[in-house]
Amino acid sequence: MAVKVSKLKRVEKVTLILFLLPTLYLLSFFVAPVASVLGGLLGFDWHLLNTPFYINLKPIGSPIEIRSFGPRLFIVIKGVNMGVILNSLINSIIVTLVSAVIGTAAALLIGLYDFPGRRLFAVLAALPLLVAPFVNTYVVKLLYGFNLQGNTLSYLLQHLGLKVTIGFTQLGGITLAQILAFYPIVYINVLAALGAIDASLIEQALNLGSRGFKLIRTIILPMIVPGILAGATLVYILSLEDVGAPIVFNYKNVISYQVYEFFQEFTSIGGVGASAALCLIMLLLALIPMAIIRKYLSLKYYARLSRGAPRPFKRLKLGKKGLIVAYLLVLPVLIAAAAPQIGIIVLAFSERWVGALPQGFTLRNFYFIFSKPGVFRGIVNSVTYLAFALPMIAILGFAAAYVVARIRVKGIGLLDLLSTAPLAVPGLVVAFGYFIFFHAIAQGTPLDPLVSPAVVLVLAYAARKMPFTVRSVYTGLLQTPRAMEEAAESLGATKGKVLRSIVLPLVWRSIIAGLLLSSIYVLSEVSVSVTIGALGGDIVDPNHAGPITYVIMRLIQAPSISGGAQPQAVAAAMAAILMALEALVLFVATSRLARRGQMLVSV
Amino acid sequence: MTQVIIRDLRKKLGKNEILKGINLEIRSGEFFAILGPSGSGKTTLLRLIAGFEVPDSGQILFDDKDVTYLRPDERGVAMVFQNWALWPHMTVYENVAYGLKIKKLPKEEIDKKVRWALELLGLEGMENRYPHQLSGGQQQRVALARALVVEPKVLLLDEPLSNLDARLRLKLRGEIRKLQKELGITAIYVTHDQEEALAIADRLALLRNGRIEESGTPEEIYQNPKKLFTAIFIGKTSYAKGVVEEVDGDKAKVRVGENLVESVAHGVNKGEEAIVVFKADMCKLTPKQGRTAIRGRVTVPMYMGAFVEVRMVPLGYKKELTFYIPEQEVPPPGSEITVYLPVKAVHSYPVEEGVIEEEEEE
Repeated sequence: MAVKVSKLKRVEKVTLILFLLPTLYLLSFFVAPVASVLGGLLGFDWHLLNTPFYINLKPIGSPIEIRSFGPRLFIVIKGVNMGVILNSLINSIIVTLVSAVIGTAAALLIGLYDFPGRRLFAVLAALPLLVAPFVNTYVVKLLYGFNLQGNTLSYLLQHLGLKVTIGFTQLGGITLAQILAFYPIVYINVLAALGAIDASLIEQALNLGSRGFKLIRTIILPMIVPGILAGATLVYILSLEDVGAPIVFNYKNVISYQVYEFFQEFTSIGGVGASAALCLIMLLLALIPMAIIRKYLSLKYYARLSRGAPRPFKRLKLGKKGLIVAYLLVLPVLIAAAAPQIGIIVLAFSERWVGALPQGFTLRNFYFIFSKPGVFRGIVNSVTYLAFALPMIAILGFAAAYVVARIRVKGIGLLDLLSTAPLAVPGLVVAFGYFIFFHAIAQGTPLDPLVSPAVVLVLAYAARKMPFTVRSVYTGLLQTPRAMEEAAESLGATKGKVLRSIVLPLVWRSIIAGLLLSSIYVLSEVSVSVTIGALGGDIVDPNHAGPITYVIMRLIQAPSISGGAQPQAVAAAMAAILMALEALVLFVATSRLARRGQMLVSV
Repeated sequence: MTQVIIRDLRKKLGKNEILKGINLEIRSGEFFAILGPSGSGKTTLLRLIAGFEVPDSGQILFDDKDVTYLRPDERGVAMVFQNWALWPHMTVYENVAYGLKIKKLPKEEIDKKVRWALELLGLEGMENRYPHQLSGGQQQRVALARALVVEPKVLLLDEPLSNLDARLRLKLRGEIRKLQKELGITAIYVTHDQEEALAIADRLALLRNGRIEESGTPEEIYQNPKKLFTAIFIGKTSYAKGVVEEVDGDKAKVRVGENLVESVAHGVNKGEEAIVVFKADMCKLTPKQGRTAIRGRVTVPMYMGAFVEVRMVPLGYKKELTFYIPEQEVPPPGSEITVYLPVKAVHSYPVEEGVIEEEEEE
């Protein structure tokens, strides 16, 4: 017993605080709300889900309809309708598989080979990483959506002499928009995995006569599987929780839309119980695959990626056949996926774009952002929330990363799990959980989202976007030998002093890089913003509580705006500013990390 | 001047028992080396003394004070790390001054002591440089100055020279020993390099699988190893298995193939198998009173400059032995030669399975 007491005495208060702060925060403001989804299930009759609205094994109609009117061929891709639950699952699986194939192919081509135009390919592939919620899908709809006025793709085909109209709509539209937006996540993860391969491994294979597709299949692919899995899992979860594409395509038969709709009237078709049940199903659908490949997704996976600097390999020369594949197969896909991002910029400077082509150049859309009180309010709100969330993320994120990286005691694994879990839990589940939890335990107080969404938004942002900072600081700490801290301790420095004089000066760059990433993901956060954020009034109210993404969504949904501008174009202008910010942050963060010989694994 | 006493120290890391009951007494002002192959537990032992880890049981005393569960910053030790662990964001001066600032000494005193330490280690003029602007040897000196300047009760050194090239290593190890003697600090030095341990230490302990195999002065350990493992590990050695034919006091004659080898006996019994360990660099090609002979057939002779390395199979024996002969002529492969060793350079021990297997796997 005496020994145990002495051992406990050794644990300094500082260490204990570092452990308790993030653990308690995540337990109370992440785990508890998410768990309270179960509370919403009390008295719910599960048979309700056994209706064709939720699960329909006998869908009517064909996923692709082809009709001809005179000389003109109409191809309408609308996907299946097998009920809310199956629709979500089918959509996510297709999006994940297609994204994995496109993302991996693009990364192999760009990461492995040298060929004329490679840089253009790389830029196009990275463009969709600049997230522009709602507006992105809106432009996808203009470009490829089914529209009686015709879409841009069909317009181009017509000018090439093809009398065909192709349009995506309903679930088909959602699938297309998500693939185009999410495949770069696989791309960037695979690229990072390729970057971690030491040149000698590839040179050895070349030396033994392996080349071309055989080299990729037998040597490269096995080594990048973790990268593909990590990227694909993230795509799967993002697709499952995405509410932007369903809202823009106005397609309600998916889980995310159903949960979102709960916040519109606090009643969806099945009431609180059905929403809670759908949240639980969405959570399980997200967590099961995640649990299976968890070893690739804990912090340790990122540690492996960043340890040491492998000798970069010299890119291989791309042969004739490869060049044909690159330009005829890969390039069109990259252009198609980058087009919405370019389209956003075009829309932001357009007077009007509703049919196939944009019309008129104007700067008015940007003027409206600042002159319309309800619109500008969104920016003020977002910046305010960020100002409160960032210090929390900095302190909690650093504490979690430090404890996981440095303290070797049983139970630390829990914090590792907790601090990455927010990435795996769909945002709508978090939003729904927050609503149930705080409305139940703090009714009428400032913590009740019906009283003040602002407080809840800040708490939710801090929990959901902390992992980016944790991860960045964690990799920074791994590059700092532990002995640096021990040297100081042996000279008599207490833990607090070691943190101040040794650790912080050595990892502050990682903290800043992490905070920058967390910031842009706070600003572009959708799920909690458009649900909890909507509880503080609509954007016609100049004192509403919604953040930027909420304002963007309302503009996309709006039929008109006073003053004559196209509301979607104003939304595009806001999105353009957001994208510029993201580009700047990604550039700063990656250049710092690149200097240390590591790739940023972006989400 | 501090005495370090270690009593029955045990430590598990996961399921592995790293230290299995260590007992040591390190005298005040002594330079003590802990020697052992990788994985023997020597670094763990040092980290326990420094306070970075806590033992599962046992005690560590500095003089009469129990420090077993004190935190590193409460112990008054200073450690020099294998990779030196210089803080890259501080200059040489700031690195060295750090420990003194922690102690909240007045500024003038800090300055005086830092200058003294820098001068001691020949680092004058480097005050404002950053670690990356220094050579390996200079970085090592800064690490040493940083540890010495706080006048620690005990100086701990964890393979501090292993990242340096051979010449610098020789030079610095002489300097470290000289400094330690001048300052009279108790020093504990961990290394896997037996030559370094012999050269630098007043006394040393040989660690094997978490236990102390043997301890003593370098002379005792080298000249009269009491354990088979020590005999094989220390010095340039070669060994063979044989049968004891005669024991006479502290001498034994062991049959190795056709050779009957005279040796210093360490608990061997007549008629039993024994391992004979030769100090392979103490042999000659000429017979003399007090030398024992091994005749064998040369397999691979190699010219090494100051000596010839000869691998030979003793007549009637199956395994190859290696000898280092201070001659310039290389015996042709296939020829038969006889090497002669002083009997005090040949030791025989009872067979100890673990030791031999470990050796043969390497």
